[in-house]
Amino acid sequence: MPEATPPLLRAVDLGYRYGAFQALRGVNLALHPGEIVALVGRNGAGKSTLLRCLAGWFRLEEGQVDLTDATSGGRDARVVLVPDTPSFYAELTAFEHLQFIAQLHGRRDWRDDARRLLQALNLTGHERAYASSFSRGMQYKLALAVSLLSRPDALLLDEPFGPLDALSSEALWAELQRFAAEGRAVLVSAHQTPGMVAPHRFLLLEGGEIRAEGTAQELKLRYGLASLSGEDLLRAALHGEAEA
Amino acid sequence: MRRRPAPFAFLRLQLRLWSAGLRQWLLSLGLMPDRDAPALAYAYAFYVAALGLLWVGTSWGALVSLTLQAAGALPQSARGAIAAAVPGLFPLALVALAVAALLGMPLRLSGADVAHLTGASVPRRLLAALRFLPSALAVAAIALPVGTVLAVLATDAASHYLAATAAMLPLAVGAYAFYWALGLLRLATARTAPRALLWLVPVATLLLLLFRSPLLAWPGQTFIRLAVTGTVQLSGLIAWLLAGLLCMLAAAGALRRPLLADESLRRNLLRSIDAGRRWNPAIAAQQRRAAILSRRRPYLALPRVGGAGLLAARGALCRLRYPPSLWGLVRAAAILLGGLDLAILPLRGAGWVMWLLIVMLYQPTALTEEFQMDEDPLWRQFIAFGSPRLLLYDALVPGAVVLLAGIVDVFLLHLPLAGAASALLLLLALLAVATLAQAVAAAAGPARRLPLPDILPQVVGYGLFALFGILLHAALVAAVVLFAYAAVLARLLEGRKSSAARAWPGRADGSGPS
Repeated sequence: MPEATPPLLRAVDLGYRYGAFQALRGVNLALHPGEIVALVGRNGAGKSTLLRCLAGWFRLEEGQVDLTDATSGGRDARVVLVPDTPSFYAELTAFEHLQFIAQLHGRRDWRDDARRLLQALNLTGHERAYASSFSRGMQYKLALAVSLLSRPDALLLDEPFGPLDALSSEALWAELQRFAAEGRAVLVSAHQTPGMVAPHRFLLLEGGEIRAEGTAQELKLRYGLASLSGEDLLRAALHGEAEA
Repeated sequence: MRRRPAPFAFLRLQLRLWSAGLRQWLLSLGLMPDRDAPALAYAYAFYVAALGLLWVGTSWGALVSLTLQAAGALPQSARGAIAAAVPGLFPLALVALAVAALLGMPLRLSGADVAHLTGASVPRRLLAALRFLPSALAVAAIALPVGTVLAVLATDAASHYLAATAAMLPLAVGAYAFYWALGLLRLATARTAPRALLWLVPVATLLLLLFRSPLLAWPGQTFIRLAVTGTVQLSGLIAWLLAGLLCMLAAAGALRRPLLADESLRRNLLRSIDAGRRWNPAIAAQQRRAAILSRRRPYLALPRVGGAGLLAARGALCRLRYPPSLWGLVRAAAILLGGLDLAILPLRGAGWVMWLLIVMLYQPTALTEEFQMDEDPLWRQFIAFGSPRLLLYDALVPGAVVLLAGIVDVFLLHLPLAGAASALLLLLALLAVATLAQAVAAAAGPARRLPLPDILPQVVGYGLFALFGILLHAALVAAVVLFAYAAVLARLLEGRKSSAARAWPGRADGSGPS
């Protein structure tokens, strides 16, 4: 069970506001090695803001984020975020983006990994094209390939399934499982989750606060559901709140 | 239902388009084109038309009178030189038109045109001819006053400038038709790249000049002969005009509709991007770059190096693959070297005000293009270097180009050794300030820690250079002050938190992987 090990990333009482609007409030969460967590919530619930705060893209205003990597002698864990609309170097091809990041990280054995990732994410045949000419789904897959190649300890993905077709979503899920199996952690935000997505835990974010948290089994029991997807959880939790 | 044949339907559509355009013009003049308009409205229309004609006539007279006065005030030698130069302007204009035809697109369709015309069986010659007509009228309207000015300047007051002016009509419209022909011919070939045939222009011009081709010289000679003697070579002028029109129609017949539609849409996209340049120049430039590059094949390759060498090589590769970015670098070098020359040459006056104005209007942003790309949070989180160090590596290539241009500049000024050394030191300080000020200004976003207006670092930096370098002519003092200011800017940049902080916790100061 992933939670048996100390967390790679822990957020304590996280808060963030855009001017007068409180986007996040008292968020506490932990990401453990080998774990895939789905962060579900409606549009505007604060998912992207939370991911940006966790990745250090936004300066924290309240609370703190602790990074530890017990597997590498106390070294701080590396966190990488793939935003929902990644941008690219206009003059570099898809393969050169991978090459640039791999060489920047001093990796020598990157070519096989790069080719495998491109193939797994259905990008083979587009290596020599400029990344800026890609469709939104292809751009997301390339950003994901670059992120996976850089081997972070925790990977945060913002709405990865939105721009992807069904086959690409399956390929992405398989890659994430493979990534987590290496002892790394994944936090995926989504307002809808494809059928095959079965994360270890769900986090429901609503109004900038974590409203529900648990494994699929725990949440099914709590809300009396026969099956559990992100949409089921969202609907059940919000329905329960409305009744209360 | 009876369907109208495509050419007639198109003709009707074109007439409606012209009519709508005319209606807009009339509305802007306060006229309400309406069949049921009262008689008073027609009287007003005649009044406006008469006023317009009067304005054209008066302006024409004023133009002739002003040019005659200007020509009369010139010494005889200067007038002789102008008269000798005017025939040469015509071949130059023809070469410029040829370049414009290969780079540009005389016949451009709107999105609606592409949807309606490319699939219909509208004859290509009819399409080209109807689109050529209004633009040829505009060319004729411009050619007339230009012809008058050239004829008066090239000859004396007693010359036959009216005949020469009239001759400008077939000369200009004929040349414009050749321009269309060349532009359409490019769309008749399989190669769509506008620059693919550009090499032909200098080669053809050189060959024509080598063999003293009468084709290039004929329009200018005809124009001058008319202006001086009043002798009209009517057959020659008509032949020139007809040859242009026939070439245009022949090229239009070979036009490939898919190429025309494809390139029209691409250029329309670029035009719409350019329209947004005023509001957000950085995003417009980025979109334009992506739109242009998406049609090109990548050349050269990213070398297999790491660390600083990789960042510098990436910068050079990006600039070579998108040459317009080199133009930005040339402009940055020209601005900085202009300031340097003002500082080291014994010049007096208000040149520093002009320089400050230029440097603030056309900021040398090209020095930090790579840094700004790397500052995108997605990519910044993969780069372990701290911001000052990243800027140093990213600015290596553009900085080296400016420094190299500075060395050439100082060498050409024949300064003594000590003067040359202090000039180069000052350029280095100015370059450091310009680069750091741009980088600090670019360090925006929610993670920003600098509560400064974007423009402030640059205003202070260029102000210090203008004060100590240009006004006080104290190159060494200015260099010391600018280096001190650069150190302050570097500290500001270092204190800024970026997305690299979490991706490289505790190591975003440059101690990450090589």
